[in-house]
Amino acid sequence: MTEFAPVVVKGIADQVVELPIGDGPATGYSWLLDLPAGVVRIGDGPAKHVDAERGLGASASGAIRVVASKGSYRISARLVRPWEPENPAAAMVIDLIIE
Amino acid sequence: MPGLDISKLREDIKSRGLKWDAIELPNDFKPRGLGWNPAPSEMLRAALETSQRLMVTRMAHLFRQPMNIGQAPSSLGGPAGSPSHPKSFDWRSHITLGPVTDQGYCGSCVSHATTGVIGTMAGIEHSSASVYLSEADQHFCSSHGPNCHGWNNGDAMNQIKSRGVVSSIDFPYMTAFDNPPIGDPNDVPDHLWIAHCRAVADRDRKVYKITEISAWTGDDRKTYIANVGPLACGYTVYEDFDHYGGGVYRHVYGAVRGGHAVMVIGYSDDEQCWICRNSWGANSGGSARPDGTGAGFFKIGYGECGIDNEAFFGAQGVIAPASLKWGGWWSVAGGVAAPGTSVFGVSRSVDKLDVFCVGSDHGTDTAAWQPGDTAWRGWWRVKDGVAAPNTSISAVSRSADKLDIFCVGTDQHVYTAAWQPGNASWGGWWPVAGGVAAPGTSVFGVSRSADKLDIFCVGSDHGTYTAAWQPGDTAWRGWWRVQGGMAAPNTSITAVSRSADKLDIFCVGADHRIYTAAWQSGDTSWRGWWPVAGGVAAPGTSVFGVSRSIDKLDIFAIGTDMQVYTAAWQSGDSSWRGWWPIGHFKAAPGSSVYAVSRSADKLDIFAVGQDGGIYSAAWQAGDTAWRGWWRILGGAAAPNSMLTAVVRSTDHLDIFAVGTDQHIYTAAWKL
Repeated sequence: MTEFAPVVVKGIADQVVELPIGDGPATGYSWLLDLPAGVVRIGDGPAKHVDAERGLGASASGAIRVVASKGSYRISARLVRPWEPENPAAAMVIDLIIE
Repeated sequence: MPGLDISKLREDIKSRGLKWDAIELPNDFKPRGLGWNPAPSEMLRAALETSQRLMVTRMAHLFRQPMNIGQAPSSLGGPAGSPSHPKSFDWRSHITLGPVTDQGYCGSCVSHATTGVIGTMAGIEHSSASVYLSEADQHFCSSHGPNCHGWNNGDAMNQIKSRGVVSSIDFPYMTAFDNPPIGDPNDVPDHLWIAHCRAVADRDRKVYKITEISAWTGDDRKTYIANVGPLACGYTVYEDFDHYGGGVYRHVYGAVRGGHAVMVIGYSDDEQCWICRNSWGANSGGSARPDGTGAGFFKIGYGECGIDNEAFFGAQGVIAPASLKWGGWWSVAGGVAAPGTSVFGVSRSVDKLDVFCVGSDHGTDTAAWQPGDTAWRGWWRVKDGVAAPNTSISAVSRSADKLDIFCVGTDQHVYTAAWQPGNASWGGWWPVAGGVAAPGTSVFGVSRSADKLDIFCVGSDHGTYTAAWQPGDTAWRGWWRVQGGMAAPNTSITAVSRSADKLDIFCVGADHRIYTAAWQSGDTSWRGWWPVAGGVAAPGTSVFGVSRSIDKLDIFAIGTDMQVYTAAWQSGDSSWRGWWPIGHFKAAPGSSVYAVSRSADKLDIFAVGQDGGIYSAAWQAGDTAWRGWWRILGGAAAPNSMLTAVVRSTDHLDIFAVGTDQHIYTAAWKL
């Protein structure tokens, strides 16, 4: 499992904040977020442009986005498959600072 | 936007009358909001354009008669009937597929799908188990490059055709990554797993290649799957597919993940679905179920998730690496051959080899090897002979340790030279009865019984001629015209003696049909020419044959489609049987297929492929199909040359080639 160093993301209260992660290519893996109270996940960002020559296996998902009220939060994210959640491919801690 | 609620997903599946199950999520899998975006249309449009380029318009072209079907097509390379498909088909009922692979967190699905198709085709075409090919070599070391980005099935197939792919043993998938995989935290998710291309030692000798790529749409996909093999497809994955747990998947809702490639191994018209092998590990889709789903396999409805937007890709003509029993390529004493010539050899007694070539100065040269030699000896010039352009020297050993060779001189006259033990040097060159050969032809001969020689040539008028010599003759007798036959330009007449004092000869006629004529002791004239099962040969090629046991004949030709074909005759047959294609292999222009029988009822053939590679295929009694083609040790041949072979003892083969550098090389195989 890849465990990334904690990332700090800053945002403004009640405005959309884009997290530095997005669901990757079609591999069965998706980010499972442990969202603290006060943080709400909204629709993902716009799909990425996919080069036609590399269309199969490319990630088309947009960035994961949240909205939160003022405060500091810690979001735990794990990249897992539904059928083997105990084997995450990666994990990341995101410290969200909303002003 | 609501999250992906599995309970609701299940209700929706049920209410829509769909027949697939959503996997129960773990307890800590929390609902979350999802954005939704349409599948990128430019990806699908480009895929369609790619498929159109590769589309095979004549379905029947792909289907050729297997060896055990005796009905002859009207000409080589012609269609052989209209194929059809059953209502359902699943390759798992016919062959052991390779393992369900796991691409991990890497967009390498195309390479998992395409190597899966080709590994399975290797099993189908070579009558063996499927071969597990290296997705890592395919994805990270090809034109795609060492990264986890996506690809497309057409380009991936073309890479296997041009550069090949090694087996998984040579480059296991997970060794392309660090252990554990590491990524670039500044580029998540695309570089979550950083991939590396690892060098494979002696790769050229280890690769599997394909000779044909095809793309299929509509019901032709089913026909192909049921008659030929699996296909690689692409479709759009949505979030709900991550939760697939059996049945026939149809998209209900959820965000788009992106394009995905898988291997299609079957279909069911009753269930209106394709049967696919995924590359998300053996646990994807849940446990194996009686309906054939789970454990990495799934069913997806016809037309679902844009699966019809891109053609399904197939591959045929899997070229496997040669057996480890091959050794070579070794230079034959540094010899260099003239362009457009080939090296012919003969074994004058057990384990002795003599080869002959037209050198770069058009001189007639020979080299030899015998037990105890650590290297080839030669080259020696044979009596200052000089050969005509684009001709080769052929050889016959009419009895133990005697050599007779034949060539066309610069004056187009036919000459012979001879050597036998005790001679300090070669005798010759003697003109053979004033015969004059057509440009670009060579003279081939055979010994129908001890110390008797019969040779055959295309005359300057393109007529078919023969001359003979036997003990007691003070000069060659001939030339006699063989039944008014006329040969095509740049072809030669070849001969086989299937038993004592019987001769069978083969030529490509002026109409490019393949003909045979025969003579045996007691005949006052040749019989023939008879067309051989309607076969038509490519221009500039000749037909070589062999007798694998008494009174059996097998001949080999390159058809007008450049495919290699064979036909057979044996005592009792009222006509020739064939032509059967040998695999899906296309030969280089201007080359011919050479055949030997290394022991009773065994056949080995050698040909130069369209990529210049040196290839072999084999058949032996009991085989229902030819085995091969195998590429021999990464060898490559010069244009307009052919491979030749010598059986120096039972089940011991030596082959000879003029390389792309015009040097002469040999390789050997021993059972």
